[in-house]
Amino acid sequence: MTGVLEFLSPSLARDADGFHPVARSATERLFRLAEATFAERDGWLVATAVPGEDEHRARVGIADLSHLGTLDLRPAPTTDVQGDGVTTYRLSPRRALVLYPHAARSSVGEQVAEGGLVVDVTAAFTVLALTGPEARALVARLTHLHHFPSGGEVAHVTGHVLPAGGGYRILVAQEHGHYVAEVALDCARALGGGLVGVDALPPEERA
Amino acid sequence: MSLLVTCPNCGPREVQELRCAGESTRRPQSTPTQRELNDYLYVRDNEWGVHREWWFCRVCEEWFLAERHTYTNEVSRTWHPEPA
Amino acid sequence: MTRLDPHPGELIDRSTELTFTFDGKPVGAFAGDTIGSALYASGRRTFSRSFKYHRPRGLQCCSGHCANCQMTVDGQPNVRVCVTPVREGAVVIGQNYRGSLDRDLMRVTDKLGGPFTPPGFYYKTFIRPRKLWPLYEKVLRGVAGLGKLDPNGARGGRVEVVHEHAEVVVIGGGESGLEAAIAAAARGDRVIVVDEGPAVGGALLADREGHARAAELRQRADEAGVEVLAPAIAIGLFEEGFVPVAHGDTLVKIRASRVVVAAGAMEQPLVFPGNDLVGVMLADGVRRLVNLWSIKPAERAFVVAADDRGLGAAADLEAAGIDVVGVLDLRQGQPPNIEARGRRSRVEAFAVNGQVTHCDLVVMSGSPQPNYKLLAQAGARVVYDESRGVFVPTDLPPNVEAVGAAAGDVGEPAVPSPVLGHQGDKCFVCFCEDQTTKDLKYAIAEGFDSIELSKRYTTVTMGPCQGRLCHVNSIRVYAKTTGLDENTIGTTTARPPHTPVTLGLLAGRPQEPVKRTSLHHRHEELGGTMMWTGAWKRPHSYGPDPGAEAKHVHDAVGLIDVSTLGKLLLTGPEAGAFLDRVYPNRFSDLKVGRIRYGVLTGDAGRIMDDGTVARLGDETFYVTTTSTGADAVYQWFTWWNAVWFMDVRFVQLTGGVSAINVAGPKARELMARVSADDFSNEGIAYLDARHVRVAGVPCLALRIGFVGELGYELHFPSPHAEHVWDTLLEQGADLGAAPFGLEPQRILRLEKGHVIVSQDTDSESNLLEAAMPWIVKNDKEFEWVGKWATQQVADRGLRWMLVGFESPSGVVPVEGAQVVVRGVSSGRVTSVRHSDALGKVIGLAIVPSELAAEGARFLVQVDGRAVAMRVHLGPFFDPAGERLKA
Repeated sequence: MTGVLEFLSPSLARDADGFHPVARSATERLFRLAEATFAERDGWLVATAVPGEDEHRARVGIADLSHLGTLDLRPAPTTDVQGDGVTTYRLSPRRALVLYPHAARSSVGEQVAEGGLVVDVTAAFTVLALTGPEARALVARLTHLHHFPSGGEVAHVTGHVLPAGGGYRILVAQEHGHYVAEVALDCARALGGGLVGVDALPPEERA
Repeated sequence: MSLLVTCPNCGPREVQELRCAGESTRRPQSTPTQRELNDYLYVRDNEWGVHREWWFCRVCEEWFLAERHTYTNEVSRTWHPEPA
Repeated sequence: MTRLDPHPGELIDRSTELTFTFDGKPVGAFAGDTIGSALYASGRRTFSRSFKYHRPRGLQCCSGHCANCQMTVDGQPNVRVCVTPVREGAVVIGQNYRGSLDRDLMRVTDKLGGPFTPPGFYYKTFIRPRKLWPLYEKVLRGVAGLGKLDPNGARGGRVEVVHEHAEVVVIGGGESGLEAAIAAAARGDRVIVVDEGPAVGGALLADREGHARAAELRQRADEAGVEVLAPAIAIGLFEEGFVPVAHGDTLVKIRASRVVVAAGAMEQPLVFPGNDLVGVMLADGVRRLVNLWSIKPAERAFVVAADDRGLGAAADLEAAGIDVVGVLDLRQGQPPNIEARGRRSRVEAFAVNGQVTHCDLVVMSGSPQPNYKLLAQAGARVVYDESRGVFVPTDLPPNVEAVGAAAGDVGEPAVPSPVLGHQGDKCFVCFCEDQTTKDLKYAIAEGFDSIELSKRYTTVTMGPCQGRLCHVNSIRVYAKTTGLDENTIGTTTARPPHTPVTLGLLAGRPQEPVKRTSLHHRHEELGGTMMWTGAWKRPHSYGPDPGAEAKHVHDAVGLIDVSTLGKLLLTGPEAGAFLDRVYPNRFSDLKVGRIRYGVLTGDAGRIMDDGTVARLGDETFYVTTTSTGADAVYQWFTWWNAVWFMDVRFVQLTGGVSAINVAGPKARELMARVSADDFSNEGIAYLDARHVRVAGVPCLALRIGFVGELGYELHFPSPHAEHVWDTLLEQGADLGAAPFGLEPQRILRLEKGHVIVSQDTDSESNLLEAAMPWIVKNDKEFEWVGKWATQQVADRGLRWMLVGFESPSGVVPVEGAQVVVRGVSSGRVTSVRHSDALGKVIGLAIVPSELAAEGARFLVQVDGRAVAMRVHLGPFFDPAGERLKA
């Protein structure tokens, strides 16, 4: 079954026939406007640093973690999926999302293999990391959600907010990614914050 | 609206995070007459009081049923339907 | 100057001086002054002109509740200056006058208006001649009103919206509110106090000695961890403890488990002739001037009150060295006839049963009325307590409680309420809307004798004070006039906002959700004109000639971004059986690797959506939907299965998968350059679905034919969209590969006669009359959704038909143009375009079914003339589908 769903997985792209595919996030243009530095990591173009990020993360910083792997599991696994940086987010007994860094992909793949339906939905989400002392205040400006992890209305669209170390991660449909990042950035700026690269995130909040 | 409705999966949700699909109906079991089809499609009990209706949760993307008082708006019960 | 000696409770800081301008002239103030207190201290007594009669009005309540002090501050109209802190350099001007605030030319309406401007006069006048209405409107708008707003003004300032959650929210930071907050915080609850004053303390702040108690409570609250929002207004009290609060430029949306309403009571004006003269003030208003801003309000004051608190003003005035020339306790004996007399609208004497005392300030106070409005909004009932002469809230909703004066704890005012001393003219009941007792009696006589009807007719309580100073008095007038008691009369429905709030604050941050495909920026960079399709942005076309853009697809090869298509995965042993139930045709017999077109109908047999279904495996189907139908179809499928419980699961893939349609005679040649897979007619035949690799990216290639040319719809992960798109354009450059947008796509699909759901169909369209009888498979076992209604259409006979047509004259009707048969509207044009490839005007139309024959003619209304069209059945371009199946 996995074979017929290969066309969903960005990680299955590879160099072939002289072509070199690189995956990109829906927020890329916003980071380019902020003159971010990009690097190719594990097949993705990642914004690794942004000018001014030290000042930003002293208030609240926003980084893009859309390159995190995400699987949709049905039913939800009985125990959390293990691994460094691996998060199991249960939506119901029938469904869970698992977020994982690239390094954990084989281990995660093995753990979920016998579970039921596994769909790679990495491409479906834009993931924003919020970091810094005002991260909670930024969340309060984007959504009424106040227990984490949970999903609901975020910037007037459906989204999920997960705790990550001392900060938060916001998951929204990638077609809303640019819009939500724009709104979050606007509110972050009013709090004295701004965009940051993934390398500016504390280790426990990184992918 | 400030109404909160409890999704059986996600807990209390603000109403714009859900979609109300209206009064629960009973589909004809065999070929209906024109009148029977019309009633099924367009006529609703519209009770003043507690009625049963369908809700969709945009967060977990599942359907559930609710019993809501159509005047006081109090939602007394929400649950996932079970197979007959 | 009228400043008193410094005293401990004053809010002003005499060491800091500020300056602002009023009407262009500088005014001095101290830090801690409000604009209103500073203006009063500088000698100003007229603060505004009344709404209808343009009577001069002075400070009355000094607490931001009445409408008397409204001015325009730094361009913002209707600012209550009595509670607005002074800002250095603020530009303040009066409003609602012609000439000057002190000499308003519109005063003529007061002198002459009277008999011509009773309540509701505008319902009876300014009617004929009708063509003069624009003039009437202009005159009326100019004559009555509040401030002026620049309709083209830029939206100033930034509004933040913040969500908060607390166990308890206390509305009102006076004595009772703070005590309740401190008690809750001691239990470990998170408590937020919302207070409209610059500092908490409520009524204590008006008392000479109250400031010490207010400070003590404030400190205890701070120590207990109570959070205070002030100045802040609770906009309303909604279900489930939802309290939106206006806090400066921030809209704070609070959700609390418990709401405590400690909104206090509102001192009511007395109703007597002359009660709106400049210099007639409420007792608490006078006390605030004296105690908060150390202002000497007058030389000689007369105090008339109905309770201890009101009478207490006399003591405060005497302590401040003002000559109190008379005190009238309305609780003693029969209520006398009282009257304020003035000259040039300034009070100069007060008469009690004809006995005149000269004074320049009348301090009036009626029974205080509990502020029940928020509780009423929340669903509480309001009843008139005759023993205390006030309306009190009762039957509070669960999780809402009232404490202090708001709950009815108002001491012992005079009963029955002596607020009405009504022999004479110009006894104002509603100051905001200029309604007197005579006006109310007039309305009752006209038949508007129910309080809700009369409110709308007279507009009493509909002004800026929202009934705080007039509602209860208006009910008392009603009681006296009709002989009914207050409970029978009742109160009018309380609705939010409780206090006027700017629309800008309610609008919050401008946020319009936009769905963008992963190729959005490429489209913009290539010159695409972006347009809305539902919540998506899509390119209309990339240049000035969509017709040529379409023809290019026939001549070479074009790319179109179709990522917005809904995409659903159905997987499970009963996936095929499920599709058979919801579609009119069959999918359980579709072979793996093949595609079939499907149209969805509801049980009413009406067309809902369409798309393709590809079978990827025995138990796996890939369903596409229209761009705006993705969520609706997902919900439709999952709802049916919530009833049927078939063994199938549904996964939304719409955003994660991007799709590009590569179409044109050179499409195969282009694909060979970007993929090592076999794109020959044998490798991927028409309606085949194949897994391939394009530019290194895993793809599902669907060979379908919406635009009528050899084409491949490539589906792949969205993060690789720009890579695939760029590669196709680069590799196809010498083949002429170019993007095409929605408008050229419309032309191309119309050349093939393809239906677009909700363009060529509407909520009434059924399969048979939309020319799709071939899709109906009635030999399926399950009664598919829509079967009964479709059969009923067949049984009653077809009345309409969707047909293709050509316009022989070359005239292009508009979409929606009426088809006319024997003078009767009998259908419409649903789509029409000029085709460059065919050199003619083609379209689709709904016509009477008897006209659905090749070559039949019908008339269409175009610019008032009937123009002939000719029916053409089947595709206009490449009818045999040779290009499609090459």
